[in-house]
Amino acid sequence: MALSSMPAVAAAMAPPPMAPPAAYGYRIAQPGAFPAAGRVKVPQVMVIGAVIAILAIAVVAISAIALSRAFGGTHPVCTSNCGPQVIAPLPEANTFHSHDFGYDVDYSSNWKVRTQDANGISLSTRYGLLTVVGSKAGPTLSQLIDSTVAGLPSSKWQSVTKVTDLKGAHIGLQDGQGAIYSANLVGSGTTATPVRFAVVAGTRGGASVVIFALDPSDTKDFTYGIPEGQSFDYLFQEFRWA
Amino acid sequence: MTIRPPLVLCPHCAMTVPEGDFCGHCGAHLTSANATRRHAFAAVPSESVVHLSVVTTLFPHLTHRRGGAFRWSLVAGSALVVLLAGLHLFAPATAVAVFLLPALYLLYLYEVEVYESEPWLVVGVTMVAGAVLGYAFTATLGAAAGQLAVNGDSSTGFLLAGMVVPIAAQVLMLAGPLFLYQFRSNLREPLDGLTFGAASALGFTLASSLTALWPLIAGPLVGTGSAIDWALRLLQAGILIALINASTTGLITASLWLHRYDLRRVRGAWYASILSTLVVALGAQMIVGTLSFVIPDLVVLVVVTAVAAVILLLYLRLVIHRALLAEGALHEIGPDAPCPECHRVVPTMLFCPACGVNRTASSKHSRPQVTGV
Repeated sequence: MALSSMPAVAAAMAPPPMAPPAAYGYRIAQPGAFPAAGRVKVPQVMVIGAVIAILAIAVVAISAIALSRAFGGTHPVCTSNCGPQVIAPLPEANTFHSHDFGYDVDYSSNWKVRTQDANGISLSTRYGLLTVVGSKAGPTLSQLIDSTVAGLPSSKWQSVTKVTDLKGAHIGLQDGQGAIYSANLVGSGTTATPVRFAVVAGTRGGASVVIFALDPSDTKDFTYGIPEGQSFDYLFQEFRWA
Repeated sequence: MTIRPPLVLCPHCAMTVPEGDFCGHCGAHLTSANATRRHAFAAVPSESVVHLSVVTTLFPHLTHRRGGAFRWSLVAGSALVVLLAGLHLFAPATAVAVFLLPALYLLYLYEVEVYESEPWLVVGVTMVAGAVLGYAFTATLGAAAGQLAVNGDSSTGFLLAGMVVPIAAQVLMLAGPLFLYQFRSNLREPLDGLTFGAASALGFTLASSLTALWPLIAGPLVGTGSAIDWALRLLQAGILIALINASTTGLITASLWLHRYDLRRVRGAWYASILSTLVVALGAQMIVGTLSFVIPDLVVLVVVTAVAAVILLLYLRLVIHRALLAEGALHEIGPDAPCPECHRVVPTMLFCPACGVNRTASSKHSRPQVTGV
């Protein structure tokens, strides 16, 4: 007689049953029965307290450093009795002519053309950017300036704030209107840059022109905080309407 | 005398295991014979794999109950950023935004002792080294990119923002974890790799964001500018970018560690391979960098960044789940002990037969030993 034919032996030799449709019910561990398992190293309250403590230290430290920079300043202050700044004349001038609106803009050959079309031109200057855009006359000068500022992409421009109106603003021989703004230029993976920019608008005949001039902010050494202000002003002087 | 559960045969791994909802050896759902068990995330089985949770994804060693304090701290910290920005206290808001996730992660490392006996080495090589690299990176390349933005050099700026910066940053975030991979082979679990990657990325992001935003916050305590813009920008730079960086770096390191740790090699999953995670991580960084450059509206940019963070967190959960199911512990049915997740008294195995949590997802100091036979 084979062993497997005996009921007790057959039961012992049979493979375990396949997974059952209903699961086995395990009991909940009684408190204290297994002190080592699930040991808590940091109580919940301590976690929240530690986070608050770390953040508080960070807030105080960063705020203090930020404040000290604001009051103390790291930029060396000029102590000498400086006279008017003398700038070298532009070594050679290039000219942009707008086919749609007929105006001409002279600019330094050291500046690099980024884009240009029939309406206007965008130039990289030594430190910043200058853009001249023509359009059909219609909106007021204030509206032209406001729409230019409002059109700055919010993803890159932070804290755009008007600093002052630009007294005596003009484009070529045409009186205009202008304003100086401060802002911060931010971007993906880039260090934020405090900047100053001027927006000057003028209208003559059937054309309006808006000039946008941007530089890294330097309020210690320059009245409006625009290091290339004189170069920009030179371009405004030399502008020729149609 | 202890009454032990009857033994059954797992239809997936064919091992004799204690009866329960899950196979204690391979983690398959026994009653449905479902090996992938997407309804029960292997680190926190009360959640499905496709479930949005920052804490259970980036802090997988925490049990569901222990994650509560971290969860609430994260929510309250984010709300505090918005509140401080609303009060125009931009420097404090920036501090909270950039330190929130790294502070939580530092506490998490201490709580779960991923570093085992070398806390200073692990924290130094991941978070501190990441922070040093993040500062150096942003102070040099970030400053150059900032100058390009002022100059309006969009073509070079696009190349930097969409390709050079994302790839270089991702490589630097991987430096610390790769050092540990090379020189500390005892820290071998995939969740170790994930944790080192996330810690390095959070240190990097902290220093990088702080360096990038520093020129903005140096000034009077009560600043100027739109509070909404500030709140959105800080949430993006401090928290969303940190989540993206932690996810991409954790993806790569988890798959790298899994490649070394996966003794079974039979459950091939393309999405958890090193190549796949590298492509996804670098691709995501480049897409986010490109979109950050081309999207003009801040609100749209924040929404896009948030969507990217959500997608990456969900993908990371897939990889974690796969890594935990693939762990190749030897088969043993150990003594009864409470499960750290469900608190039921179960035979000590790689997976809890009752709730299905992987024991290596619990903190190391509270983990019962599972030794091979």
